[in-house]
Order: sequence, then C-alpha cells, then structure tokens
Amino acid sequence: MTATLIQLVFFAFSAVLLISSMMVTLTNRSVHAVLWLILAFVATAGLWILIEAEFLGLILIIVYVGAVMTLFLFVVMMLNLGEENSLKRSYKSWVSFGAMFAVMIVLFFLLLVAPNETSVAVPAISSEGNLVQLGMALFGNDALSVELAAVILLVAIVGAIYLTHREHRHYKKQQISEQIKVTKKDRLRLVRVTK
Amino acid sequence: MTVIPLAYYLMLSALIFGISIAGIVMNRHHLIKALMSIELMLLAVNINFVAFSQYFHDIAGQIFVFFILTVAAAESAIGLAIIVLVFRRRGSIDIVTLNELRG
Repeated sequence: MTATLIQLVFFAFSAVLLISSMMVTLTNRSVHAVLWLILAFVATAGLWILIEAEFLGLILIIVYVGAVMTLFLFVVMMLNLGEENSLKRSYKSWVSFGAMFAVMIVLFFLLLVAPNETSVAVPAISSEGNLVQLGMALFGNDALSVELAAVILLVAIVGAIYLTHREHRHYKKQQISEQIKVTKKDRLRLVRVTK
Repeated sequence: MTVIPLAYYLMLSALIFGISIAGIVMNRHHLIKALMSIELMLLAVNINFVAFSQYFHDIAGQIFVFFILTVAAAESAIGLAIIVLVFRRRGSIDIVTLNELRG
C-alpha cells in the first residue's frame, strides 16, 4: 500500500472509532449504545490489523464482538429497562462536569504525548509473522500466565453462574438424602393375616 | 507503517479515554452504560499497548493486551451478573439509588 492510502485508512478508522465511542455515551437507548460499542470494537480491530497486529485484531472481533457484546445485548434485552427518562435528567446536570473532567484529562495526555510527535518508528519487519511471535512468547516464557488466565476465566464462569442461578421454588425433585436415610422398618410393615 | 507516527495512536487513545470518562460521569443512572464506558477505557489502554509494542518491536505489549482482554471478558461477565442481581432486587439499575453504605 502507498503511504497516503495507509494514512487514509488510519484516519477513516479513527474517525469511525471516535464517533462511535461518542455515540456510546450520548445515545439514550441501551441497545443502540451496545451497537455503537460493537462498531467501535470493529474499527479498533481495523486499526490493529493496519499496524500489523493481526492476531489481536481478530481476537478482538471474535471475543468482544462475538461473545462479550452478545452478553451485553442479552442483558440489556433481558432487563427490559424501557425508556430512560431518568437518564435525560442526570444528563443535563452532569454534562458540564463530565465534559470538563474529560477535557482536562485529554489535555493532560496530549501534553504528555506532544513532544514525541516527531518520532517516527521503522516498520516492524519480522521474518516470522505476528502469530508466530505471539505463540512463541505465550507458550514459552509466559506459559504459567496462560494457565492463570484460564483459572481467571473458570472463576468468572463459576461466579457468573452462581450469582444468577435461581432455584425453582415449586419444582418437584428427588430428596436424595431422605431417600438414603430410609430403612426397612420405615417402609415395610409385616402383618400377620389370620384366616 | 512509517507514515503514521506513534503520537497519533496515543492521541487517539487519549481522546477515547476522555470520552469514556465523560461517559461514566454522565451516565450515573445507568449501570450498564457505565460498564460499557469501562470497556471503552480498556480499549483505549489496549490501543496504547499495541501501538507501543509494534513501534518498539517488543511482543510483550501484545501479550499484555491478550491478558487484559481475558480479564476484561471475565470482568464484564461478573459485572453483568451483578447488574442482573441488582435489577432483580431493586427493579432499577440506577447507580445513584445504590446508597445503602451511606448509612
């Protein structure tokens, strides 16, 4: 790709990312917010693929857009929040504070970043691809960290299921402890039958 | 990739971070949108990590992103479960009314 084309793609994805992340915070409907967030993730994946981090870009689409955002969408639809009148109320009173805070932080970061603007790095040319490098690192030195990440995911699964699981109250089922405790003389009575 | 300076990525990520901070402050009556803003913040941090990793030729940044994605997925799963519990108990997910600890 030529230089201008790469720049064009970068600015296009950045514009999509900025607009969609602003819409996440500004839109009134939750489902629309989730959809804008999905667009933000897709734009970020594009940016990462542009900067030659293909694996993470694809992981972002698969894990975030495919799994986490679906979870968000399910919860938003399940809760049935209706029209958010209260949101507009809070929105008016806090918009100035939030905007001020955000502008302050952004200015701080931009001042930090600005001196480095001239440093243009060389492209990452490696004989092996991004995926090979990541795989060698993840399953070489960081194998223990991968195991720990697996444990974290397991804890998340167990925690989420435990928190949201509801026992049915009028649900007929076996009382196994009672069944085991039963002896012969509880259930069986011998009666002498006379003629 | 010589045509895009590192600073552009950093500025983009700073802007997204600021937007999501404003989102947390403004959406005080909506717990799910606060959680979504936190996801955006993590995304901004990840953009920084990936940009630095590619520009300094160190794969460690991308490994950090990998683990941040893992932890963020776990966090949003548990967070959404807690939100469902809060909604079941109180009938709303307004952060402002969750003030029992105030005594």
